[in-house]
Amino acid sequence: MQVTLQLYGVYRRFQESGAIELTCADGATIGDVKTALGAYAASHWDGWHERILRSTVLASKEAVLRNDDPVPPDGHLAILPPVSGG
Amino acid sequence: MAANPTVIQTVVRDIGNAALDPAEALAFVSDDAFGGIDMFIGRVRRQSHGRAVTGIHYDMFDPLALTVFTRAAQAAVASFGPALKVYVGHAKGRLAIGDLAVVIAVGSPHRDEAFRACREVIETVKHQAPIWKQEHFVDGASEWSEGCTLCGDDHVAISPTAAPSPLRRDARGVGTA
Repeated sequence: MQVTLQLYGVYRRFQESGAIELTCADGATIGDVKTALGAYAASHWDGWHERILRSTVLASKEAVLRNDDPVPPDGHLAILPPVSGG
Repeated sequence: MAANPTVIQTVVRDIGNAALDPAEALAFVSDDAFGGIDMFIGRVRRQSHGRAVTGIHYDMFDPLALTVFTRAAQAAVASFGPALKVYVGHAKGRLAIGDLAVVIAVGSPHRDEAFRACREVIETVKHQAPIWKQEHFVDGASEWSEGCTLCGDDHVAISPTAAPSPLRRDARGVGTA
């Protein structure tokens, strides 16, 4: 399945387009997507470090998702680095 | 659960279109039954970590941010209401020094509930809303500020009523109060 990841915060530094697409197996979980994201980042992004991924969560429009949650049927996710609003 | 639009108002304002307006917040939470109104305003200050800044760019995942605002307001009504009105507004885009980044207002019959609810809502916004700051410095450099991870260790779901986790650390002296 195709998964579209919208990038926010510090992730915009790595990819000006603001989004990436990854191919994951059907039935993939959020944890699987994070693993694929780490592999993509390591091979495409200068200045990338794995610790960024460790403090990152993936979310749908409604909620932050857990590693064992399934990918939403529409395949659309947001990458959320540590937040700093207010 | 959908928010009652007469009790809770949430706003994301693109600074390119309009600024946040405290008068709008004040009007929303005003009620003849309420004797107390508390308002928190966060604005962009001129220094961060000893460096002079020219402004802050706020990036935001709007749909989830609005969900977090609504849940924070609902939690405040549950804790300190039901006689309570809550306004939560946050700006996005490139803000200059002195621009308003966030406005929280709470109206209630008495001051104690207004103070406590307002504090609870702003802490939730700062710790749980998907919002990011990119600071722009006078030397031309820019940096994304450190913040609070939404995952404690492995992962965590946003809780509508949870207090900020001790595993999360506050943004350190960045941008607004």
